[in-house]
Amino acid sequence: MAVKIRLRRLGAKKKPFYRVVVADSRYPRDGRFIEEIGYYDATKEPSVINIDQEKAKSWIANGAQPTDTVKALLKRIEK
Amino acid sequence: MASERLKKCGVIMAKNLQYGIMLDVYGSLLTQKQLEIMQLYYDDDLSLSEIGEQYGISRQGVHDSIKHSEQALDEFEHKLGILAMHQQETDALLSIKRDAYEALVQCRKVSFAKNIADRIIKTLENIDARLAELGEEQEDEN
Repeated sequence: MAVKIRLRRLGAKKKPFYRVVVADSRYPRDGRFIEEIGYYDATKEPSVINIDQEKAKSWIANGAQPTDTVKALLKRIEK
Repeated sequence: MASERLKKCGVIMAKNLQYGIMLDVYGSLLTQKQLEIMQLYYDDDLSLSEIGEQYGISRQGVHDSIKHSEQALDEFEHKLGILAMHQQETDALLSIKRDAYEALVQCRKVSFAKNIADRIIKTLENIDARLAELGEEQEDEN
């Protein structure tokens, strides 16, 4: 069972807003997830990233795989 | 184009989430299956192999489909330019809004300019209504 940290898009047409969620890789796309650890708002300039780094780290330590997009976001907030 | 592709193959191949917005505008011009795959990839952030498992096709097949769709979306934007137009209009309205707000601040300093201030407030309200129509509810910084 692979656990993933990925984005999930919410928000309206042309107004993307993403939640960063921890979810099983087999969960269907309809939205079941284990935990929400942050969000990413791309509509703001500059975009707003808010991720609970403690939780992200502990999930990754427990074997959760962040997607490339989430990895890039995590890298950006570390700076 | 080739250099762009090279960049994407870098260490972190972050998705260009701009395609998510293009999907909102031009998504219905793709085929149903293309659209579904694009949504899984960009809106739900699934990996190529996860999408492949769902549809019973190879990872490579999913990749091809996504590249085709991206090309199609780029072409739609190139020919129709709805997104660029939208952005232009939003920028123009925002700059008018800034000017009007400045004028309003000036008017408030002078007591006899009260009726001018009222008119500027009307203008600002009109601009806000138009901006909301454009679907770009900008946050009111004032």
